Amino acid sequence: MTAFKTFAVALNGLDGHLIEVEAAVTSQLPGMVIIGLPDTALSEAKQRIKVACHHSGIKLAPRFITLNLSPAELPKNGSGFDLAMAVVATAASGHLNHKSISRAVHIGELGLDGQVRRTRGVLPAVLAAKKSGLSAVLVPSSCLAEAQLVKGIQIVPVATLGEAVAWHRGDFAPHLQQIVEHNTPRTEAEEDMSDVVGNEEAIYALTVAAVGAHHVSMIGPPGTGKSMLARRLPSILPDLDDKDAVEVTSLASVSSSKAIAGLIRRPPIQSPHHSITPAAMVGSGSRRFAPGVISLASRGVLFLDEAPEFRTAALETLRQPLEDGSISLRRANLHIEMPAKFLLIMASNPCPCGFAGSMKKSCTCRGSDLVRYRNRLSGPLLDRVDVHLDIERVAQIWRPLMADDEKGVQGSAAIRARVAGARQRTKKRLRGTPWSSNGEVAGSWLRHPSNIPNPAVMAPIDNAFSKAQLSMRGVDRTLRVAWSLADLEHLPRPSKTNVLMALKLRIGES
Amino acid sequence: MQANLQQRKNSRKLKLGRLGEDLAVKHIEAAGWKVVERNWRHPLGELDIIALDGRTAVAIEVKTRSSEDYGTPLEAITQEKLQRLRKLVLEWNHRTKPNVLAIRVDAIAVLVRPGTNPVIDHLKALS
Repeated sequence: MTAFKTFAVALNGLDGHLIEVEAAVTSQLPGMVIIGLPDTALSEAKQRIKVACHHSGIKLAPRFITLNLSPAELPKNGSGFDLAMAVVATAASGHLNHKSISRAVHIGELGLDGQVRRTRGVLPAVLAAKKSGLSAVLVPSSCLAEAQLVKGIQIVPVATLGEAVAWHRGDFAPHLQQIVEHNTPRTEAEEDMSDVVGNEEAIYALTVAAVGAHHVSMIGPPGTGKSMLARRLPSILPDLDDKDAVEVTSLASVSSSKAIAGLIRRPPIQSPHHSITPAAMVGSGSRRFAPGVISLASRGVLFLDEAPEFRTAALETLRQPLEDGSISLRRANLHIEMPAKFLLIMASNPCPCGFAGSMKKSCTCRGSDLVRYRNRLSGPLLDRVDVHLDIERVAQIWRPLMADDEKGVQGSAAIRARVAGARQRTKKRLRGTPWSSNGEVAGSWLRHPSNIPNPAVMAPIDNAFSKAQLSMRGVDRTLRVAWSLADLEHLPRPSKTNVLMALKLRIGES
Repeated sequence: MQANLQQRKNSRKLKLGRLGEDLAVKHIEAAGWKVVERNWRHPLGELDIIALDGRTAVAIEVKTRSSEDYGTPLEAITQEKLQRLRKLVLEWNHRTKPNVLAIRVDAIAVLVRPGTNPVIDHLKALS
C-alpha cells in the first residue's frame, strides 16, 4: 500500500496554512472516509468527489479510500479541499503520476459535473501556496486574475477536474491570456471634496487627519454636512502601496463570494449602521470566520454616523484595534489575528434634539438627557481621537490659523496629492525608526530633546497641560498632530501656529 | 402486459446473476479452490458460493453487473449485508461441521459488458 500526497490551503483569517492531503487505498469494500478534523461541509466532500470523478471519466479504485488531511489538529472547513482530495484519490487509484501532484497546491470546490468552482479567499490561499515554495498552484479558471496577483509561482487555471488531471499528466495547456490590470481604477467614482460648500476649515482638519492617520470626531447639528465630509474622506487618501493593497484585496477576497478582478488600490470605507453588534464589528463565526467591519475598513476609513447611538459594547471593541492596528480574537476553535488599522471618523449631534449650542435654533433637551447622550462615548475612546471638530463653529475659530493656500475650495485630487506629499516627508523624516506615520510615533520619540519643539513653541501645550485641559496622552497626541501640520506645510519641525492649531483640533473649541 | 414486462426483466436479472456466479466458480476453481456449496439457503438468506481455500472455508458473495453506470458492483455490499453473510457462514459451519481451521467471507464482482470479456474482481477477507 502506498500513500499518495498533494497539497491544499486552510485559511485562518488571512493566514494560509499548507495542508497535506494524503490518500491510501486499502483492500476493503468500496467506500471513502475523510479524516483530520474536517467540518460538515468538508465531510460531505466525499459525495462530491465520487460523483465528480465519475462524471469526469475517472474510475476510482473499487476499494476503500482513506483521505487524510494533516496537520490534523488544525480545524479545516469549507469546500476548498475538494480539488486536492479528488486529485489525490485519482492518483491513489492508479491514474496519475505521484511526482507532479506532490509538488502542487490545489484550490477549489467541485460541482457534481466535475466543474471547479471558486471558494472564498483564493488570493490569500495562493499567497500561502507561494510561501510554501511548491512549484504550482491549480485554481478555478474563474479566479485566474485574482490568483495572478501573486507572482513567483506557476498559476494553473482549470475549469474542470478533468483539466486538472490532464495537466498533471502533461496533456493540458491552460489559457493564460487573461490580462491583469494592476492599477484597477475606482469601480464607482468616489465622491469629491469639491462638492462640499463652505466647510473649508473642516476639510483642512480632515486633510491633517489624512496625513497622520489621526482619528476624528465631528459634532454638529443635523444638516451641517458631517456625513458628506466623512464619506469623502477616502477620496483624499493616497493610493495604497503594494503591501497594503495586497492586504486590502486579500480581505475582499475572503469576504466576497465573487472573484476579485484586480488589486484594490483605493482605501476602503465602511459605514456600519448604529445597530451593529460587537461580533459584526470585530468579526464573527467560530469555525468559518467572517471578517468584521473594522478589518474590512483596514487601511481605509471606518465611519460611525450617529456615534452615540451605537451600543456601548460595539464601541468599546474599537479600543484595542485603535491602539494596536490589529485585532486578536480567541473563540472555541479559533485563534485569529486580523488587521484593523483604520482611520476612525465619528459623527454625532451635540444632543438628542441636535441643536445644543447652536446659534440658529435653540435646544429643547433636558440637561440630564444632554449629559447621558454625551456620556455614551466613553472617555478612553474619545481620548484616542486627535481631531475634534465642532462643525458649525469651525469657521470663525480656525480661519485665522490656516495657511493662505488652504483658503478656497479644492478638489479631492489636489488634496490627495498634498496628503501624499506630506506623507512622503513624514516617511523621510522617520526613516530609521519603526514608524511610518505621525499617528504611530511613540511618546518617547516626540518628547526626546532633539525632537521636541522649543519652549516658546511648546508654550500653548504646556499651558493647556497645567490647566488640566490636556492629559499626558493628550500632550503626545497634540504633538503628533502638530507634526502632521508641519509636514503638510513643508516645515522641518512644528511652528507655534502648528502647535496652536493642533491644540484647537484636540480640544475642539477654545 | 405490465406484469409480463416485469417478469421478463426479472428473468433477465436472474440469468445475469446465474451467469456471474458460474464465472465466479470457474475463477476460483482455476485458483485451485474446491467449491462445496452453491446457493446454500437458510431462513436468514442465501450464500452464493461456499468453497475451500486450503483448510479455510470461504463464503463468497457474487455481484454481477452489466455496466458501471451506477457504481462498481462491490459498492452494493453494505455493512448490513456483510453482517448477514457472517451470520450465515457461521450458521452453515454449525450445521455442516466441516473439517476446517478458519472461515471467512470474500466478494467477487463480475462485470459482464455485452461484447467484451467479463471482468472479475475478487476481494478477499471482507472486514
